[in-house]
Amino acid sequence: MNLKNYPRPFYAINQFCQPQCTELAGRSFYFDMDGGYDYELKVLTGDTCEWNIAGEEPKKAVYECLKGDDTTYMFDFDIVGAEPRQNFFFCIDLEQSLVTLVRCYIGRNPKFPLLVASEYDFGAIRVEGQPLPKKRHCLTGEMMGTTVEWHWNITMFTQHNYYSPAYYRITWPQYSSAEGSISPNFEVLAASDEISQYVKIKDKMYLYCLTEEMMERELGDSSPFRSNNMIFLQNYDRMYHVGRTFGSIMMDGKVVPCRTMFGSFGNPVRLEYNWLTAENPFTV
Amino acid sequence: MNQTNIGEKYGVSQYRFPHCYDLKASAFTLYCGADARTLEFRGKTAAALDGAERAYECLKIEQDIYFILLGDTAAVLDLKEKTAVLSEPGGYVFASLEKGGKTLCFTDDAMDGTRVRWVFGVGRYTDHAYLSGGKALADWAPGFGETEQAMRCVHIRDGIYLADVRGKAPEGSCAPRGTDRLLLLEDYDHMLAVGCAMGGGNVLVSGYAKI
Repeated sequence: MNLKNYPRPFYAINQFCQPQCTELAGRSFYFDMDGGYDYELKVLTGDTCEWNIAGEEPKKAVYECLKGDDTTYMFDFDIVGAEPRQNFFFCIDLEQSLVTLVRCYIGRNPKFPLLVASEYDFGAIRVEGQPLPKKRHCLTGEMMGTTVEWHWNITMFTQHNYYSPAYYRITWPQYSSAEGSISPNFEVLAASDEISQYVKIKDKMYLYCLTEEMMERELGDSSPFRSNNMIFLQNYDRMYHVGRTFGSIMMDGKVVPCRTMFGSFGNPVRLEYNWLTAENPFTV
Repeated sequence: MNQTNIGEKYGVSQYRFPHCYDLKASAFTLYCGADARTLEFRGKTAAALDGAERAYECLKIEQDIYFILLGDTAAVLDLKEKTAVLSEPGGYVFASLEKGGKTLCFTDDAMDGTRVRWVFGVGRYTDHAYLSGGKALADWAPGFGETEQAMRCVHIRDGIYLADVRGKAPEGSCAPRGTDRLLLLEDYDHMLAVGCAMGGGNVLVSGYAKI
């Protein structure tokens, strides 16, 4: 059989996603957080866990987990019963015993109720017999100047420019299938610049976080994408990333949750100087 | 600072996925005919095949399907279907993880007609065209021209195949020097592969397909 014709389902950014990591099953963690609320996490099985703020009752969740390298995990779950929806994303770094928590909320902005708001908290993992580390993962500008091409599936790749600690911009050549699939939404925007945050995990490894905020403010329900928050655990040593989306999408005229796990492979790319240096029309 | 790199220090293993430790502290009996073999994972890096301890590395291609390299032996375990394949220097062993259970076999023509490029790193790839009769055309980046090579195939599960292509990689290609075999566990749903380039030091690889 020519396996080019294998009857695979439609894939967008999730085709090259690595399989779910289940190796944390049976482990428990205590996260000592700088934000003042510590968290306990008990990984029950390959896809279920219990979590709680220290001192509170444990709550159950269905999680998703992927690895950025041998000892760094993204561990992600929606809060059961939360309305509007909430999502917790932990970056668990067992090499340095550090943790980053990104809490994402929908419904905090009365003008744009689908906008995803994010809160960042940094902390350390308690390990018996060892002092708590003083170091932390941290917001960073180290990635500024990075231009990279990410391959998401067999036909789609996009090119990212990380040029500001608060924004990024995206493009693709016409021979990427992004030209047909996501291009129309960007063509009506003044630019593809979008709100971003950058967290350093360790040398050559970063959390890159973007929220489709400008698109939601500018296009609203005329775009199918309604403010997704995307978090990428990017490994520039190996040149790949894993990640997830949390947000909403329009389907048949209705707003429905958008939750996707993804992964992609990268390569350096040289991009046009004029595009790289164009002004961001959304900033002063 | 531009964080990208072309992975010179990793070569063909640049895109290798993180090691998988799912199998740590688990043990299996491999039933093959009247024989029973044992495979025990004693930690994250130590395993024992028939009691003889050796280092191992494991990559996961799909939920419950693992590619394991144990020195000069490679294994594929499918924990859902309870099947195992061992590729040892002396040949292949097809086993079941339960007594009397089903075993796999060679399905050499199952991928006949498939032409695929597996990309293992920046500018590092191999081109395969699978033919009938246990043959394949193969080439390595940056491109030296396809040569006919011997090939064996095992259909592991829907969309997932173990392809064993044997032939020397050209001198100056992206393959490790001395590579004479590429054993790849290929997923035609997600279009990903994990495996090992053998003969030049046995290097684990992962990558994506262009088809």
